[in-house]
Amino acid sequence: MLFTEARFLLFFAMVFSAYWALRRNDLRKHLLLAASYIFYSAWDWRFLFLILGSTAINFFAVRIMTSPEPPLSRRFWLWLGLAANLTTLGFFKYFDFFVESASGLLDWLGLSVPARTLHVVLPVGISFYTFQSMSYTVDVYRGRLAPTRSFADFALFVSFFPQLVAGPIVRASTFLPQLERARSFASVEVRRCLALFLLGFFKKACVADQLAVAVDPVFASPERFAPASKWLAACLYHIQIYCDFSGYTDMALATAGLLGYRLTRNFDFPYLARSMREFWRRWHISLSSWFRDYLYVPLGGNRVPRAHMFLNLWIVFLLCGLWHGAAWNFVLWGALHGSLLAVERWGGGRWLDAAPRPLQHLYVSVAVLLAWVVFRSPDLASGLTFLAGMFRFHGWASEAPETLSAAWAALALALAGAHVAAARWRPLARVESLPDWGFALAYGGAVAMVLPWVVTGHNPFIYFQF
Amino acid sequence: MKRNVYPLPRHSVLAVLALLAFMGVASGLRAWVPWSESSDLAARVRYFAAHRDEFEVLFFGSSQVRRSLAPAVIDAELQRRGHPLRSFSFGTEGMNGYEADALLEDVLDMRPRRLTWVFVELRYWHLDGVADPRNHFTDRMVHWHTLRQTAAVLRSLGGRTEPLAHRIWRGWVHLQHGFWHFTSLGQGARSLSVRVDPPVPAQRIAAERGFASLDEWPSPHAEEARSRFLHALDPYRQRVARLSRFRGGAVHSELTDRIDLDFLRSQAQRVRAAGAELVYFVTAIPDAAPELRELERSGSLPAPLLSFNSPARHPELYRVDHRYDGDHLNRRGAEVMSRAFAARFARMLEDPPGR
Repeated sequence: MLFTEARFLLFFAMVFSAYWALRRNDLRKHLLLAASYIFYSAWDWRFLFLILGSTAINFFAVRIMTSPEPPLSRRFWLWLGLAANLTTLGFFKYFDFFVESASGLLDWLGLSVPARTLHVVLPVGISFYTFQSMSYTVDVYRGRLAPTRSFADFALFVSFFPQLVAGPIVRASTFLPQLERARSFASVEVRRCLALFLLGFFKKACVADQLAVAVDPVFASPERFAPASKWLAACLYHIQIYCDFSGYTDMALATAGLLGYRLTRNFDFPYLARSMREFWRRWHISLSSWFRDYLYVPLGGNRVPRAHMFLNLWIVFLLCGLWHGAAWNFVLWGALHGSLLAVERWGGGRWLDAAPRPLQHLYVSVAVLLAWVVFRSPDLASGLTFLAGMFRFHGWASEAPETLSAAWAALALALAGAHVAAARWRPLARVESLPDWGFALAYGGAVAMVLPWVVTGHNPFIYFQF
Repeated sequence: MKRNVYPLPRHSVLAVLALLAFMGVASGLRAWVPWSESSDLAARVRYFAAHRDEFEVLFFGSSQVRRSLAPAVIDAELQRRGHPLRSFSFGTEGMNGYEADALLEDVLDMRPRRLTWVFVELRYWHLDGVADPRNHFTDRMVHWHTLRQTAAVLRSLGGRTEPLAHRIWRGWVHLQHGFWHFTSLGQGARSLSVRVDPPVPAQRIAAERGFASLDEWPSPHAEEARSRFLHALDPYRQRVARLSRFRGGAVHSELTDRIDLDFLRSQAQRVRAAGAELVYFVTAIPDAAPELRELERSGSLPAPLLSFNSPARHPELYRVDHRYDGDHLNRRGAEVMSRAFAARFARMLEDPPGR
């Protein structure tokens, strides 16, 4: 059930109406929990048992860990909870990858062993809810968060449907306190949420899916396209992935907001960043801050010798790459980002800070774009071939049977302009200042203007696969 | 922070305002969406819009019309008989009566000043092609689901003998198409690209004026159908022999139920309001279409009917060397058919119906 599907709108309308019709907070929370499980079952009901099991293990591990006299040490229960999460994630997401990689390595060493993969189906959203559960366990262990006594509250925190399948990765310290008191409809920013939902819908269904029409064929058969078309496809993917993911996040924030809950902000115009450090403060903020707080800082963060710090950065970004997908192209993507961050920390940052502003933007744009090429390619070899093809200046715009129309370049420029304008003018804030009748007219008209640009058909969000 | 607790009337007024804005903008955008490019349909509509005042005669209908009636041949024959008229064909593969009516509506909205005769093929009201899920939500099927056509299809489902659940499902499918049509869902990119880079050049339309012989422009499965036809001629000959022997008989009520006479009357009124005369016709199909004969005999049709599905009256149209396949004529057959059509039309011009 995608946010852009009519059945989700119907589902949400029913949940919204029933939720605000109930007065008791416990009933509302039970309704949301049931709705979240129905939402998750819409993908594959069998994985409902997985999320329930994961919820139960984390809840009870923390419960025992925080009991006055826990059997075994608190650390044991912390590691048990973390191990349960990592084992689940490792099996469903990485088992086949590790088996194939090990088999490939042995093959290379001349020890041919057939790879026995299980073709495990990846449960949607597993990377997101596993990270949320781990953050809860660690925060309670560190004493930064009081454990919840309510299993239903914890289950709702893990499975809350607006952010269940593609984030943002919400911290328990942000979400659990919101469950304590009944939300008030009077405090819901209805206009802002409606506008945010429509904006997210537009980004996903009208822009990202439209761009996929041009991008997919180029990445599927790059040899059929000239270098200029490859660059254009890379630029279009650069925009597509942002609109796809930030569009989902906008809709997640809006649906949660309409139910009275605030989620973590996940994007802050990342393509306007002037360094990779700034990029990661603006892109997928909930993931980058998770890695910072639960991996980078515990590894020593910035308080260790410089070589150690670079190693930490690399470890964090290699794992960040692996988090996105069980394939070597994601590992390389993470390594590229980690390397650039290391270079900026090593002294490149000072040089960059002194550079003219357009050069700073150009550096970030090109670096991120080239990394996206590796990220988008079906595997590492294809990614490297694609990159090599982009830099083959002989036969720049011809000698290939197919080319992308110049209209796509015009569209990319227009969208880039819109991105800059939106950062400057903050249209959502302007919408809020309209009078009620003006908002009603503008919203009705905007919905009608968006629908013709929807790409019909099944177009799942890119981040669902992570 | 803004409070959202308004009295109900205020909420209702705001909702109505939003709905009105939605409907207004959606209606405006709808006018901007072209017909489907399949079968050169949109290209022919574009061509006609640019040359609307050059034609007196228009043809609407299925592939039977597109492949059987050559406007240039008809015009030459009419000219020879002393009736200098220019005609244009909107015949399109798989076009049913509702789609033809939607197209007719668009054409009449263009206010073609010289239009005097509108010929509509009266055959395909069964919606079998529409029931095929492969056609669902295609540009073509969405485009003809105007409010009038959707309402007519839903009304027609009410009178059918299919199981209720089946009819409800079909009704739901048509309602969804109606929604897609009204909101122009997913039509933006196509509408824009067609304007930037039209896929069919106007010269091609100008040369044949809507006619497309199967010999030169075969449809995707045409060659397969032709091969089947040529390898098994006996079944075709048997169908033609049965048709020759047909002298009328009991008509299954479902066949006549499928034709919505109120809808046809409204169609005839609209054509007359545009200053033209409506004529229904049936091409040289190997089928007796007894329900149409029955309607004509009973005087229920709101316009005259020209039938060409009689091997006794038009044996030349059923000759194997004039057929592309069992259902369609080839170019030579189309020329014969067009001359026969022009001859009947000329007689009608000389002795107008109702005089």
